Amino acid sequence: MKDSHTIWILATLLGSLGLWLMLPRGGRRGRLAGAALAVVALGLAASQTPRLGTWTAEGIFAALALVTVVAAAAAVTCRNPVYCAIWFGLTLLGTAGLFLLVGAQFLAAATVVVYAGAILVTFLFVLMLAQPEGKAAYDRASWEAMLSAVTGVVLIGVLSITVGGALTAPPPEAAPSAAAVQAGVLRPQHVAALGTELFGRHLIAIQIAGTLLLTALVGAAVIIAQGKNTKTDSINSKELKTDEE
Amino acid sequence: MNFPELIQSVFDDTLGPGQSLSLFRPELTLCATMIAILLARMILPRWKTSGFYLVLLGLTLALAFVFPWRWFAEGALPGQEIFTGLLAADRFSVALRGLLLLFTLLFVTFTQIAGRWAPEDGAEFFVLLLGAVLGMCLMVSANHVIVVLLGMEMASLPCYVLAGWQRDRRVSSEAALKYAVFGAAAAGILLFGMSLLAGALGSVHLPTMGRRLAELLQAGVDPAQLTALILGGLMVTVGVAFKLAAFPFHFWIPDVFEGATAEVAAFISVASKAAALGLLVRLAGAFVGVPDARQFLVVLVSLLAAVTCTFGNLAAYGQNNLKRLLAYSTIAHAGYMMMPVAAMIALAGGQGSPDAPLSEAQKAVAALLVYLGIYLFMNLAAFAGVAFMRNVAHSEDLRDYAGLVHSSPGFTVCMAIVMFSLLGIPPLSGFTAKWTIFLALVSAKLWTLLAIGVLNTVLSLFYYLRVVKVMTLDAPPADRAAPRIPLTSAAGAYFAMLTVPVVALFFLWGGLSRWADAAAQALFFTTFGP
Repeated sequence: MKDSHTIWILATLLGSLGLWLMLPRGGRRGRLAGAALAVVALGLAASQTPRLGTWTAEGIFAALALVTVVAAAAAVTCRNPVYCAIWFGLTLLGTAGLFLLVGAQFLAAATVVVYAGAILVTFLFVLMLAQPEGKAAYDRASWEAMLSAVTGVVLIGVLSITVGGALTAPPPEAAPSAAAVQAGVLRPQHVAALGTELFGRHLIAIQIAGTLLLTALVGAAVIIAQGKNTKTDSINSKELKTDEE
Repeated sequence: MNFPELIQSVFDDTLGPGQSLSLFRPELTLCATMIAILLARMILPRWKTSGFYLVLLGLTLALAFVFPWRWFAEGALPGQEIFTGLLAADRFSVALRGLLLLFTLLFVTFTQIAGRWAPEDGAEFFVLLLGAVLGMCLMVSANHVIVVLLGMEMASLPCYVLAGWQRDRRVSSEAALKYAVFGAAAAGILLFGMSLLAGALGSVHLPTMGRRLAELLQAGVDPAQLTALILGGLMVTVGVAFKLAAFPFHFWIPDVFEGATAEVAAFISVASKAAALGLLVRLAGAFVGVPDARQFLVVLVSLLAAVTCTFGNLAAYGQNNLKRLLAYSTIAHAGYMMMPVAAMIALAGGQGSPDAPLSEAQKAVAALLVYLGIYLFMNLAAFAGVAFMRNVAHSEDLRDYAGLVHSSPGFTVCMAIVMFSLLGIPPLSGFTAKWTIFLALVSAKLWTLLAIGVLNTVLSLFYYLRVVKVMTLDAPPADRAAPRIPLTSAAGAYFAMLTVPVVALFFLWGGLSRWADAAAQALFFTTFGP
């Protein structure tokens, strides 16, 4: 237990250092060294994850996990925002694969459809529309590189230690019984069960989400209408002295 | 379950013995009003002012639905779960939703008098406003993690847009962007914490989560799981503290208030805080039955309250922009209002029932409701004063208030009353509010918090008095005409009307207190374990 904690903390430290070196900060120095450190951290972390049993499960998990993690690191370290978006898409596909591996077909499909399909394409559209005349300087360097690298990796470390610890020794009361698992997620029709749950017990939540989207739509319309009616819209803009900064 | 069965179960729940829909009428009315405004704008393009009257009608109807006085009669509406446990319908939620809708009614009138919203923008403004109020109503009756999250998102999202309403001002866009980015981060952390808690406790229904926690702690919990629970609890606290503008997560308030119009600032300052406090009571109320969780929460909420209050009052000193000053005053008041919640958590050991005499913990909740009822009027009045001055003097700088007493004596007197009430001087209702929360702290034996609260009242004396001093004693600037707001104008009359309850509630506080007691009595504290 103690050893595993030490290794996790070491992996966290190495990972944050590596990520910090890899983030685009102007110069090109140290990116290879950063990548090497990150690989070592990844190896240390991998040595502490519980084994899955069969070799096929282990192999598929390792491949998917590697794709996800490497693509995630690339998504934050690339200089070109378009490449970042595409790496991010690969991360999402890897995540969807991991969901599929643990039997959450619905989540896997939703991740591909909603994130990789819709949100990523929106990202790419925005990037292409926003930068018709080339990339801006502020897109090429990362802000607060040290702070963000440390925060991200520390969060991952703490969660890995906590959740990993909870997973290796599940308390008997919290874990659902085998019969419950069989009737729940392992049931072939569990997506239908999810639908029944969503539109039966949680119907009002779906309705509320619909109203939330309506409000968001109106808000977006307000923002988009920018500049169309500045003449009538000047509540006090030209009059406030505090504006002339 | 096949499709007809599903439909049948939905019918049974909403229209059958559950009666969920009839208790949900205020929210449905708000929804219908939102759609009616959008449609009216589309169908009747020439009827430019339709939005305002539709909103007035919708809000009045919603208030009538939420506020049947019979529910405050003895034993009525003892508290029940509606919509298969997703929402709680009790007198606490009735009271808070009533306060929110009453505030919105006053607020809409205020925007009509003070803000010169362009007619074609009016409709969107009202739709966003009603959306936010709907979210806040859901927050205060949340009984389920999903509703907590959806309600908070729904209350915040329109506020982001409203903060950036003056699109041709850079400060305003900056405020909206800051608010949206920090708000999204806070919501993400809240969601993360909630999934940790839900995963560790195996439920997303708040009372069930409380019961599971009690069972888990009694059976013995291993350290890793305890860490996950504490981490989840802290992350949820971050999300709620952001909405409350409690100390380490307060930083957005001054910038947002400076960038947004005084009207929007008033809305965020009163409605958003009231809803966040209601949510805090709900979340804390689910876990106060567990002794260990209670000790953890008391320390957490007391610490946040003490630091928030002190920070807000100290930071208000250097402010020359009146909106920024009121922003820090809002932070300080959020601190005061968290104090009765700390007292409630500390006292909630014994169980109550809807018919039993008021327990001490319920009295603490009643103190919070009294404070909110008074805070509504005085803070709305303060921001209304700023907005009316802005319309006349085109400035929110404290220097431009100099010598106001010579040109608009009535307005100055009202403004002084509001400032003294925010401070908490005896013949004004602000004193009643502070007195009730300090009494709650006494009965909870939270002496340190009480000392900090009293000390803070003294601290706040100087900056509230500074506003009054500038208005009355300083010489008016000679280089321009003095701003005039006669009490006979619409703005002056509205402002005077708001100061009436600020004074009157001091003398009539018996009624307010009885109302708050009745509302708090429905809150049901069960106790688990030894």
